[in-house]
Amino acid sequence: MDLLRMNEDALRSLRTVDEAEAYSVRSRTYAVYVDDSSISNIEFKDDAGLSVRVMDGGQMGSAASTMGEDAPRECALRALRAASLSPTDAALRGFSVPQEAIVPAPDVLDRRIADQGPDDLVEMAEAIVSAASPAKVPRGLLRAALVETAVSNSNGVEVSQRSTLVYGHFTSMVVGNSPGEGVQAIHSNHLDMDADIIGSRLLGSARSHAEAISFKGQEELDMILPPSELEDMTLSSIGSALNGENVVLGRSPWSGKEGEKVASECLTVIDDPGSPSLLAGRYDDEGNPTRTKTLVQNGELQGFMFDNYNGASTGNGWRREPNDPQGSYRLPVRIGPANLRITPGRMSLDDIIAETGNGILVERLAWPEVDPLSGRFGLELRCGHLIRDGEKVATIKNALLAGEMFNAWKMVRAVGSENVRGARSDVPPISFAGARLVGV
Amino acid sequence: MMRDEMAASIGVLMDAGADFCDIQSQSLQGTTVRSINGRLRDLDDRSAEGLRVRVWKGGRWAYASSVQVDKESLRRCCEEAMRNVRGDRPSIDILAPVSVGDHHARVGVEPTKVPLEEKVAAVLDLDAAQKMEGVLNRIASYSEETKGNILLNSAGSDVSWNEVRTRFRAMSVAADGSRVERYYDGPDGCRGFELVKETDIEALGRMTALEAVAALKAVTAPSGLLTVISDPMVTGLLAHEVIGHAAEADEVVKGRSFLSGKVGEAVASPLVSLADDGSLPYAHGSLPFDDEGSPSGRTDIIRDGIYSGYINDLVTANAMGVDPSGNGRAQDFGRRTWVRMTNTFIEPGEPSLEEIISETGDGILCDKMVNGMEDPVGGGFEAKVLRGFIIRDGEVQGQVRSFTLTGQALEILRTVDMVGDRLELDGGMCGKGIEDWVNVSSGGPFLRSRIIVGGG
Repeated sequence: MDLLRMNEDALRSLRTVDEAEAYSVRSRTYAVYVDDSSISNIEFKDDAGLSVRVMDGGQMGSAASTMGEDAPRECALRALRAASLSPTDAALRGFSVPQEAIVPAPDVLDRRIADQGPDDLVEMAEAIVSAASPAKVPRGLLRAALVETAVSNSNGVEVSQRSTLVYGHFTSMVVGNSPGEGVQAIHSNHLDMDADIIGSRLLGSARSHAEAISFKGQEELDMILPPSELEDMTLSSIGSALNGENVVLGRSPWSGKEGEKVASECLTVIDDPGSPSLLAGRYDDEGNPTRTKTLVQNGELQGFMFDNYNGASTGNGWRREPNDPQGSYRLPVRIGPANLRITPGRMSLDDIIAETGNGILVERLAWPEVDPLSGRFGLELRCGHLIRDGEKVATIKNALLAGEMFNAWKMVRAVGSENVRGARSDVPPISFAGARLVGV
Repeated sequence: MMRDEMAASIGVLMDAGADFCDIQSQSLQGTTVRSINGRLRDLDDRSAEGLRVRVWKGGRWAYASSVQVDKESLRRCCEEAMRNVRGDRPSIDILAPVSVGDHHARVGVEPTKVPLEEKVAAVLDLDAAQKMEGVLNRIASYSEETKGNILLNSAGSDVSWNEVRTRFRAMSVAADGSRVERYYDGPDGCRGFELVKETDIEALGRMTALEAVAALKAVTAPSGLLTVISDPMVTGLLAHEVIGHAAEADEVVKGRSFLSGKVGEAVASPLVSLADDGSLPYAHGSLPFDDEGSPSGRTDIIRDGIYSGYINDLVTANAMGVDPSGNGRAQDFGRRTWVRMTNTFIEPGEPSLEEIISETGDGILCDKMVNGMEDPVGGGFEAKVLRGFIIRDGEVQGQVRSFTLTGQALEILRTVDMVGDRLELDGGMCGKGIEDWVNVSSGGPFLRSRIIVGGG
């Protein structure tokens, strides 16, 4: 299936409108599921679809469909109809115009995933389960996909890209009355992870959760967030504040603060689509070239991220979800980073712990997300390590970790030296002052 | 999709050695209209179709799905599934209920027959109704989804059904220069466009705007172990996130649920009864059949404080020797089918909200949720609450801004001492782990208990 030809078919039906855009995507996915330490399901998915947007006389509409022979034309006509029924919007901006790529092509294609069946995936999942022993793996998922996208529009944009993604999510548990559950996630473009390391982390995490005791009382302390928990807290605070739509709508706490200090000196944030990551590539899903952008430099706000709808595009308009390509043609374009990287510092995690007087090293939170408007958070601690005078003194659970994340970014104590890649971020462990822990 | 070809393929798969198999063909039709500050942000018309083949053999599933719904694609999916089903787990025989016939959703006004102009107008009216000093963003949205299913399996099921869902929602974001707060409301359900026609759009928009502006004056919530009156949404989170997810029998059979082996035990106050019911008329999580063709129904999970049962799909029901409860669900044809909730709620009791408040010396009254997170392993409860009200000496006092509730779910349920008289359900999407989203609702009455409050 030639995606660019499908796009052409759609655009051919829209020659009379001001502007039209077709986005098509095809993915071939294998997934292996683990239940109770053995493989319970092997899944194959062949998915393809397209989305068409029409802009005509200040009106805009869109339509999406799974791919079939008649889909491009039908989709185009449905988008045209939707546009004709929308109110006129004088502020609408046009679609992308042809531009040369800026970032070098990242290494995001694994031939083993592109060309083969599920055998390597099965082998990797079994190796991870084996390496986690004697902890059991109650639940696991390992997915590998080949993803092909194409964007074409009436301005002459014609961009196609191929990449592979590997996403894994495993839990681990030791035998006991109140075992808790460790978690390890995998994000990569290549099926090249070390199963022994992942398994060993699962075992360690299961043991930590099992030995955790309920925290009592309340106290102010430093919080050290590992990359696994910091990713979502970063995206829901910094990612939201840097989102151009929130700026346009006046609800970003960083609106109008370009050039001002918004965070600690030791914080530098870059969107880096040129390094391997699940959304890495030379173009975004609107056909705009992506670019490596410094968004926060030593705590000073440098700029925001935009798609075509909200401003001059910075190559940050995405339909795809990083972990799962299935059905991304049905999703609207939204602003987001390709790969939000926090520049690592010089301290190892051990050094950060050693320099912490009174703190909590978080291992796992129930759902590490903050309120994107206010920055407030109150998160259930599922496992963490209390630190007193530079030493881990107890493993705890059943407590609320509370604070305000935009303030926390101004009170960074230390930035760790080892980044870990997430779904759309690449962050190190970071220590913050001013959190509150409320026990049961 | 040709049912004859699907039936023939079932025969081919069984001849090839499958222990059980099913084939589902699905079509999805959806429309979303969304505006922000009077500008139409999204006007999307979506459709999709696909098929999924599942084969069970040797205690393992293999799935194959495609968006090409034709004979050749069906053949390829059957081959792929058979190639990948390499089971070496202890297997069980799958006995499935036999479902037949064509079942059509009964809605008042079929949404696909309503002109798009009318939907756009309703959204823009709801947007305009939120205009008020202090309101920074007016957001209005309408969405509809019609899902058509055909399912055949090796037990003899040959059934088709459709599901229709609509949602109409307002959200106001208010700001005063130093703070930003929000409020939202709106109806949803397995209903047609009558859901919009029955809504007082002006009143809905004005109320959300007023409440968002009022939230700017809210103060920080107290923290610690407090008497909490959860509203139906937060009661629903308690029912859904902790008890509901832990009652999913796949978690039970592998010992991942803290509710494993609890049937017959007193786990909550005798005032608490909790159920999952996919057959409730018009509720957002209702469906006539699950994605394995089992009829939906009601499962009593807790009855008068005693733990009663689990919700099942075909595999777990056969493993536990019970009937499937109609809870084998998938986001769509391209995703895994496993045990999922439908409408999960705590049953109402007797006192009115006013009576509960008047009998509460000091406490906090919750109003709407932000989100919650499952913990089937540890039984922990985490609910982020949009806002609340302080209660002192039996009277509602000032408003408090968003806060978090936490604690052990069973300990919370044991402290329940008042259960309100009115059941309300709130529709939404439920993920298992961090993906696989299905339509559900959760709810209950106003409920008084003791819960840890923090994060305000």
